[in-house]
Amino acid sequence: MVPGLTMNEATGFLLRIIFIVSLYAFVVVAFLVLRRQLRHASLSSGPEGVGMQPVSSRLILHACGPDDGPVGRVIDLEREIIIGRRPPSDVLVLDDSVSSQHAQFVPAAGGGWLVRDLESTNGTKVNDLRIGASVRLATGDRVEIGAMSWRYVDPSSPFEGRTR
Amino acid sequence: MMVVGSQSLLGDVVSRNRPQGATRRRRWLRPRWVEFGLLMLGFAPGLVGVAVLSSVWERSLLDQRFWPAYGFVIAFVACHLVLVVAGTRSSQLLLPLVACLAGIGMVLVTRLVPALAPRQLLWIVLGLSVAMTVTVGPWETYLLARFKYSIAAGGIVLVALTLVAGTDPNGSGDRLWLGFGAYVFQPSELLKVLLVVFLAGYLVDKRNELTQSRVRLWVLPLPPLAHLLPVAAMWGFCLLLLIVQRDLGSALLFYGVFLTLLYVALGGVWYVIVSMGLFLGGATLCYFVFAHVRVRVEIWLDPWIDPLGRSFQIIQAMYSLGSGGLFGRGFGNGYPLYVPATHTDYPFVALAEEAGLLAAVGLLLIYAVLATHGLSMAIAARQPYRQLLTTGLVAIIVLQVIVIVGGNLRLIPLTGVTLPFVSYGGSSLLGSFLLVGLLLRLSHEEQMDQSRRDIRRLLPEPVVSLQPSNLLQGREGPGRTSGQ
Repeated sequence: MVPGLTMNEATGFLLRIIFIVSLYAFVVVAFLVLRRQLRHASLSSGPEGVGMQPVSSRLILHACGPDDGPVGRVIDLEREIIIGRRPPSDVLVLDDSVSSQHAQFVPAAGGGWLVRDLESTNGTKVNDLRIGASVRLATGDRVEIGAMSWRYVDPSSPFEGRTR
Repeated sequence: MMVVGSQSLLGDVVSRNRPQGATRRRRWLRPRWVEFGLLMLGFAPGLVGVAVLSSVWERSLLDQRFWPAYGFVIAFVACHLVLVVAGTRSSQLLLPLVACLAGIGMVLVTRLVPALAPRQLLWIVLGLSVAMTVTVGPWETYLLARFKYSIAAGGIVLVALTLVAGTDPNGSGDRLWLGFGAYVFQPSELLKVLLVVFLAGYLVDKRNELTQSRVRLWVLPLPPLAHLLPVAAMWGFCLLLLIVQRDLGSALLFYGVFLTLLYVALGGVWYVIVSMGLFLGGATLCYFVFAHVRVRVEIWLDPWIDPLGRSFQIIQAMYSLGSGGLFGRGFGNGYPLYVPATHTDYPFVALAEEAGLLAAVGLLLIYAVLATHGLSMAIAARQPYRQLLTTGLVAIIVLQVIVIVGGNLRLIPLTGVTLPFVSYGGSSLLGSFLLVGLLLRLSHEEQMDQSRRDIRRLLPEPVVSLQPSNLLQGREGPGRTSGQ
C-alpha cells in the first residue's frame, strides 16, 4: 500500500484506474469488431474493378430502382449478354418492370455494340426513344431498361459526351 | 380438365419462381453474441463508476440512489433480447456503443443531480422503446422517402408551435420548449431527425436536376432556381431559428448537417464554399445585429471581462477542467457543481474533472468508433437514399459532439447543444434514440437485401453449355459482392 494513503483512498484510486481501463477495453474491443467487419466487407466486394484499365466497351449503371444497384456498377462488354429478370439472362436484376429476357447486347459488324430489344413488355429506350429491334450504340448513349439507366461507354471512341 | 391442368402448371411455376427464403419469411430468434459480449463490456465503465460513487459517498451498492443505474442495465439487456427474439440482422455494434455512452451519462447524472437520475432512466427507457419500435416494426425506410414532404410539413408545424406557444421552463430566456403538463419537450431535438429524413429524400430525388446546371454565374454553375428554393428555405429557416428563437446551437447543427448532406449528395465543392460563405456572412451579420450573439462571442474570446457575471459558467468550467488531471479526482470527489447547469451543458467537463483526461479522451474515442461504423454502413448501403439517410444521421451525432465539446473546451463559443446520450435531457435522449433506431433499421434492411441477393445468386444456374456468355454471370450477376 502506498504510504500516506488511507484504505479508502487506495480503493478509490484503484476503482478510478479500473474505470479507465474498462472504458479503454471497451473502445479497443469495439474497434476490433469494427475492423473485422470492414475487412470482411472489403473482401466480399470482389476482386475485380480496382486498378483495371478499361479496354473493352462497358455499361455503367447510373440510375436504378430501389431493388438494384449500386449506381456505378460496371458491366464490361466482352461477349454478347442478355439483361433480364430470370435465367438464362446473363445479368440478373430484381426490377419488376424488366422482362425475363429484356435486352441483348451484341457486337456490331464493324466494331462497337448493338442493343436489341427482346420483345420486352415495357420496351427498351435509347436516349429516351423506344427502340424497335436493334440500335447501334455510340459512346455516351443512355440505355433504359425498366427503371435502370445504363450509360454505354466506348473507350476507343474519341467522341465522348453525346448525352442527348 | 384443361383448367385444372393449367392451374397446376401455374402453381408449379409460381412455386419454382419463388425460392425459399426469398419469400420474406421472418426467422425468429437470431442470436447476437457479438452484441451481447460488447454490451457486457460496455456496461463496465458505468458500473465501475457506480462503485466509485458508492465508496466515496460511503453508501451501500444497493442504495436507492443507484437503482436507476441498475435499471439502465436491465433496459439495455431487454432491448438486446427484443432484437434477438425479433430476429433482426441489424448492426451489433450500435447498441453496445450507445449503452456505454448512456452508462457514463447515467453515472454523471447520478453524481451531479441524484434527484434527476430516475427521470433520466425513464427517458432512456422511453427512448429505447421508440428505437425498438422503429427497428422491429412492420415498415420500411423507403416510406420515409415517399412521405418526405409530409414529414417536412410536420417539422415546420413543430417550429411554428414553439414560436406561438413556446414555454421557458428553466428561466434561460429562450422559449424553445413545448409543455405537456409537468413535462416539457424541446422540438428542435426531433426536428433534426426530421430534417435529415426530408433532406435525404429530397436530394436523392432532385440530384440530377441540381447537378445539371444551365446558367452560369461567373465560374459558378447555377442550378435551376426552382430546385434551389429548398436550399434557400433551409438557410432562411436556420436564420429564423437563430433570430427568433435565439437557438444558436440548433442553427449551427442544422446548417452543418445540411451542408454535409449537400456535399455528399451532389459532390460539388462549390455548394459547400458558397454555403460556407453564406454562413460566415450570416454569422458576422448576427454578431453585429444581435446582442445575445455578441455576448456569446465576447465571453468566449475573453472570459475575464465579467468573471462573476456572464462568463461565470465558462470560467468555472475552465477551473473544473484544469483540476481533473490525467486520472481525475474520482466520481464524487470533485467540485463540478460549481459550474452552473453541468448536467446539461457541461457533462464533458464534469467527466474530465472527475474521471480525468484519459476518460474524456476515451469518451471521444467511443464517438469516433460510432462515427466510423455509421459511415462504413453508409458506404456499404446499396441505395442512394439509404446512403444519404445514414450519412445524415451520423452527421447529426458527430456535429453535436464537435459543437458541444468544442464549446466545453472553449475552442468555439458555447452553444446549448447536448452531448448525445450523455447529457441529461428528455427530448435530447428521445431524439438520439430515435436516430439509433433508424440506424438499426437501415442496417437490418441492408442485410436483408444482401441475403436476398445471395439467394438469387444461388438459384439454379442457366445451362452453361448452351450459352458461353453465361460465364459472365458469376462476375456480373447482382449478387457478385457476396463472392467467396
